[in-house]
Amino acid sequence: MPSPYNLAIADHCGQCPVRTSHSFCNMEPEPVEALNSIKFNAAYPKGALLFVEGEQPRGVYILCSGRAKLTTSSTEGRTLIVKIANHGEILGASAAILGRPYEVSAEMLEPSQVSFIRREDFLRFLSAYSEACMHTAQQLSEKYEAAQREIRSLGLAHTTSEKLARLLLGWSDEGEVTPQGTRMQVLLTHEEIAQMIGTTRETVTRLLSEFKRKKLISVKGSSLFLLAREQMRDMVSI
Amino acid sequence: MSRSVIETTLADHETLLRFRTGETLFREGEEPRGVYVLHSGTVQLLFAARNGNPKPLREAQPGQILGLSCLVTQRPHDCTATAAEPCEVAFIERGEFLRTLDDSPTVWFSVLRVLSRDVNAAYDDMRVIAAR
Repeated sequence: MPSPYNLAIADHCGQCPVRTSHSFCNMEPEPVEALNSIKFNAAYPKGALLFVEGEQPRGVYILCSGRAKLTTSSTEGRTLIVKIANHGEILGASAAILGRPYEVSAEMLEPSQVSFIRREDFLRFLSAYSEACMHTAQQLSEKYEAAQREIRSLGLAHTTSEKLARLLLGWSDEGEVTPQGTRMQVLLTHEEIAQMIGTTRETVTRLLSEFKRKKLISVKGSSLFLLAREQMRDMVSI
Repeated sequence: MSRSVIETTLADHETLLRFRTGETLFREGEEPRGVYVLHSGTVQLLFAARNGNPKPLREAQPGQILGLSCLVTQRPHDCTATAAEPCEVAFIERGEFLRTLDDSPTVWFSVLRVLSRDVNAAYDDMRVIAAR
């Protein structure tokens, strides 16, 4: 069947093939049915903005597939990526709950299916199902803990190469162990990596070359191999 | 407002603890045993460094609830909390806290508000730190 961006679109939450692997959506049949009745399906292209920092909250967005980057502006005006959100995550929840403007902007990194829920409907959904509250609390706590890790990395690392090493080590936790080293799919540009660790694109390019020269990593296409985990870990003081 | 809802509901289940300056409420890496509601005094949150001294993160003021996120995610504490001055803290044990939530949906919403504010506070810190 034709679909936008050839995405495998799941229309009904009850029939969604990935629902049980998504911690927020993995609920009992009754709340799932309620969720399905209040959400709107949409498909967005890469680069689409779901919401921008400072905007009044319309509601929340569930990433049914794909990834999004959450960005903010530093007090200096530089773009900072606070998080790469994965499929299964719910975005805009803190703004919707507090009734305050969105704290970050959300931009799609690839074509994705997204479910939108209006703020009033979301709040009613929470008050009706404690399971939905628990799952929202988990989402918020995970966002908080991810932010804490970033603060630790940004604030406590002494050098930019230490920050980059920390980022790569973090990615390698989800990488695939191969005889050549831990393989990671890097789907971010050098510019985006720079925005994750608060530096410039030029510095990221220079440091990655330096890491390659020191045989800490190797790059093949969009795959990055971590070759010397222990050495990399020694670069990280926090 | 929301904090007081939580405080009132939990009042029957809490244990009042007193900490002297420099004493530790919980340490980074410890399994969370419950939540801490700060009644009076100031608590300093710190990050342990792999080598060297711990680095200050932010201060918690009376009314703030500590340890909520790791209780929800069931992960170890991600920072250390130390009394910066004499503190009075209400401690609610994990199981007791979760049971109270089951019985009272309005408390759930207050918990979500506290967590939302925590997320926003962390993003505020990031904006400042990234500019340094």
